[in-house]
Amino acid sequence: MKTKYLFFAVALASIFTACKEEDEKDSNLESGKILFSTTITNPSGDSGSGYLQAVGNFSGGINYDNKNAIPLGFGSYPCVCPSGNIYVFPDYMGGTELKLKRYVLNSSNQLELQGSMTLPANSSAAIVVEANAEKAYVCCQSLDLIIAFNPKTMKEISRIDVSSLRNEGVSAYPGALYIRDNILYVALEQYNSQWMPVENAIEMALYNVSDDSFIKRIRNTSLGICGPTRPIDNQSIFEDENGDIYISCVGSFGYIPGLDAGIARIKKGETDFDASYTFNLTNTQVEGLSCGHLDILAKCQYTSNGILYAYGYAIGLDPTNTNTYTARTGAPVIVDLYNRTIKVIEGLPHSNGHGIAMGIHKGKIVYGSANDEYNGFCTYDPKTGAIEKKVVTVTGFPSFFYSFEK
Amino acid sequence: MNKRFISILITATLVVAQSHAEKKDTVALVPDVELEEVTVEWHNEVREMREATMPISVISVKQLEGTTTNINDALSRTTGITVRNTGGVGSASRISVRGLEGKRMGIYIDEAAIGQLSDYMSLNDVPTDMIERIEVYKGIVPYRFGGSALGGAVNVVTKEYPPVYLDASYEIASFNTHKLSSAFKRNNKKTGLQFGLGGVLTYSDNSYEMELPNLDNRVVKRDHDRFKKMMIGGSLKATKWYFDEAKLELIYTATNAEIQGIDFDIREAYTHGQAAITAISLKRDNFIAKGLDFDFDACYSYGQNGLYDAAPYRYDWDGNRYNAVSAYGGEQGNYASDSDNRTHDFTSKLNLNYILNKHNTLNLNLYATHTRQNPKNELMDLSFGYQTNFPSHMTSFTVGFSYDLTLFDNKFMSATTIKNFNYASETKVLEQTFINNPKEIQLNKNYWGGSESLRYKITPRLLAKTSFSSEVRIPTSEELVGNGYSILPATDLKPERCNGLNAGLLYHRNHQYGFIEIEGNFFLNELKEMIRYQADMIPCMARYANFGTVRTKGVELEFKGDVAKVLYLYANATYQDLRDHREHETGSSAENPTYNMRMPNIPYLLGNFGFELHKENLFGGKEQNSRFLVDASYIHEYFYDFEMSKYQERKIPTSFTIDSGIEHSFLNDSWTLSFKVKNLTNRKVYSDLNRPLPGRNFAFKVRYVMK
Repeated sequence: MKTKYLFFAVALASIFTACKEEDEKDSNLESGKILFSTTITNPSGDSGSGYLQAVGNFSGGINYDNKNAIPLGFGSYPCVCPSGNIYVFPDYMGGTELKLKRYVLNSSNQLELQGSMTLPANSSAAIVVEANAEKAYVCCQSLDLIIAFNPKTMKEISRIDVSSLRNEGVSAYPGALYIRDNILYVALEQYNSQWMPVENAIEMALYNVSDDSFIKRIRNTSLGICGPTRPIDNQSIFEDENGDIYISCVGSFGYIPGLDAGIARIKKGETDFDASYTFNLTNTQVEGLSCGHLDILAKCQYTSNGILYAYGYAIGLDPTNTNTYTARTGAPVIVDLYNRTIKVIEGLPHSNGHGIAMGIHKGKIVYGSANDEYNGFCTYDPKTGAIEKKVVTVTGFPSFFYSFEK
Repeated sequence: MNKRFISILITATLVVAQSHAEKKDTVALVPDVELEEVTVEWHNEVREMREATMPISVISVKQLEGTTTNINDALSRTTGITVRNTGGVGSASRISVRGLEGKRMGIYIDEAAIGQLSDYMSLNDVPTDMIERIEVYKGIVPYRFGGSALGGAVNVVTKEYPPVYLDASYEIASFNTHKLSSAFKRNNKKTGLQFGLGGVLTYSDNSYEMELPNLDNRVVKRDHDRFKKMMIGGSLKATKWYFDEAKLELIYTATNAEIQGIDFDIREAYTHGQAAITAISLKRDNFIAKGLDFDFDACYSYGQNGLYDAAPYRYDWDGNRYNAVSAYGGEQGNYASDSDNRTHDFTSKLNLNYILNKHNTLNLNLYATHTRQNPKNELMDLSFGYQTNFPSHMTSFTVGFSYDLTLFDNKFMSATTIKNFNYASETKVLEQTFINNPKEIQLNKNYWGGSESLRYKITPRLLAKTSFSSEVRIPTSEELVGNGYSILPATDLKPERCNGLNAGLLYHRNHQYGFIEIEGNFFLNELKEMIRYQADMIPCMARYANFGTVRTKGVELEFKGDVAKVLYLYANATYQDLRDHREHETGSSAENPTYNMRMPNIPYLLGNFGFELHKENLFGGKEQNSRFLVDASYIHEYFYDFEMSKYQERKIPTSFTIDSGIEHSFLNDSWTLSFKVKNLTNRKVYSDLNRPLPGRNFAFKVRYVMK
């Protein structure tokens, strides 16, 4: 009998030994001032997880895996504020730790956690704007809620409930946030249950940053566009050198005719939409785009002189693929805000809905790309017009990029 | 509540819900060899030997009456099986064999498939007291079961009863859990008629404390997880008509289950369902011609189910109130729901087995299903602004032809099966749920599959088994067209195909105290177009999707036996390594970043250990029996994302739980008292996706058997 016990013990031991995890390979890549994240999805593209890392080398086709990356929630992008604070969010759809985390790049250029704050469940938190060193706002989109907090302590200060601004039959659904002249601009998507607008109107709520008091609600129905800001892109609302605010509106993402995307403006010194500035994407022929017009600007990066670099999204680029997450529908474009023209950057590949990271690095515009051949980054040089493909390859869809070396 | 509940218990006449096996006697601890030996007693030797080529584990009545309170408990202690509960009593659970889970598994009661009825019935609905044994088939599903299960099957064999039999039990357990079950059988030997009545009532508040990993490990008490289930039924069986056995069964079942919030404090949402089920079974040996055995089952059910979720507010665990996303309410997601879905399910199986001679047997199996769904959810339609669910129907037909060969004085056995799978479906579907543009979908597909299994007795105590298969699993109606409220249609789903290899050795020896058995198995599978359940971007909605190719390698080892007169011992361990085998991303030549990585959210290392001390008349007297049981279960931590980063945190922690029980019976098992402690050490246990499971809990049960 003892022999049999011994046999059994050895057999069990052999099994447990057999399952040692594979040795991790050290990628031996130095950290640096470039942040990017990738998204690893299920084949259907509508769920998965993200990974954020800081790297130093961004040239020569270098390959980065995710072994040294910090896991992120799926469905939102990190927010990098001018202060250098880097905010990462829980999974947009829930199911992960409900924490807003603040990182900085430390002296070793490594992501260092500075603090975290628990968010309500089902927040769909996606945007942070900082008013000052001791006050910032995070937008909890599915809760019709803005939470003011202290970035230093990561403690909640107050809450702004925007649910009273709901239109009939929809949720107010606050989108991206912006602060100008001590006023917090809150985009109101007014989405229905399918995250779709129901009328061609854009609305924003304005709050006093000093005391979070409600100032007013602004609304425009004459511009013919809706869906102010892309709710998870903090660059979809920005300011030019003149102090004018531009709002990239996503409409119905190209799915519902008549509910169009475009760009709206709030001029410097004003607190209402500029009714004289109309820029409807559906009505704008894009130079070099096979399907004519874009449906939305999925990612934006403003530079100067009215030039906005963007990832244009057009269902018509991959019309046979009904999977909106994996279809190659993203085209790098240059938008001239002042002349209201758009043209495609020739030579850069089309990307899927996840691989649309954008940023500026050492004077070049960086485009993430999840194309038919590789996942990685390309660059466009605004000075020369030169493009460079496959500058870096990555593991997963490149969904976010930010460089501290502009 | 308690008084009301007890009143319900008293007034309800409880009934046997399921059919009963044709077997004539009890089999204790039935391994493969035992099965074979017993079949020699029961039936013609040649007829039954075909079973022996399948890799099979058997959970005996002895194990079922131990610390287990339900079938899932028993299954979870079997080699290579994990049962993935999501909560307490009545919570959704998925059985996984060698990492392949859910709809792939064939679930049968007395060889009749219940897969089509899974909205209304689960294996756990069958009281353990009524079970003779549970057969777990791995790799290949016996061809006589029919259908298109992949990877394995669970067949619950219910008890055969003496002429007059009454079995009643009541269990009271932690979290205000009450279970009452009873069965009454009356056999009339003269007429060959058997009448049966029985049923089950289950109630639980499931009010256990849970720690929430997403909320700073905050501890809260579950406050909206009440589960109520009633099932009553009756059966009539005739054994002296034209058929050797003709059986008619009628069952009614009703369920109401509150929805427990995890990250949010859900306070009003619940699901409900009820179904009327009727089944007929006909069996006759030597049907039409000598050596031709006839076996026919048909089952029809009419069901109603739905989700109610229309609360105007949502609450977090601090009591903060938020408006529902939809103007029409809804605590779970973006929409309100008050669904009233009607379903019709029909399943039938015809098995014709023809014994040519001692060496050769032919078998034809025809298996057909039809499901028709009529969803109705006006509140959800209001939330979305248009109709979101549409009537659908799906029909499948599987033909299997098998040939058994027996040689060398029964030392060698072979079973060869070829199957043809056909299914058709018709529905409307919103390709994008955010656009009111329903598209008509019509499908009609046909596939072929086959398997070969071999067995050779090296010595009377040692036998080797191997099998190869290339089989297809047709998507179920739920996978294909959804369920009308929480699962979206996925009409572009492709069937799964599994190419598999199993090989194993089994050593079995009887001795003075009972038996000793050691078994080892190796398995290698390649599952193409794996169908996975996954969350959708729309909150609280999910859909099934083809994942691609997954490759599995694994080994299982098991030891069990009576090591002393008073001691029975078992231990088993399974290592199952499921890897993503998609070389490229979908629709691209770009490398798949998760190629060859371990599949997330599937345990890969698990084991069980347990023993039973038993002694007759331990405290004196006579006709008494005492047992003390301990069962331990280990599941190694696993990730619920692909393991990409060294900082990866999303993992389901290792669970090691110990259950223990004491049982004492009087008057030759007429009265049995048992006391069980589950999760004895009060470990924090989480299921997949970090669903918290109950800590230490207790149950006391009294059972009376009149026979």
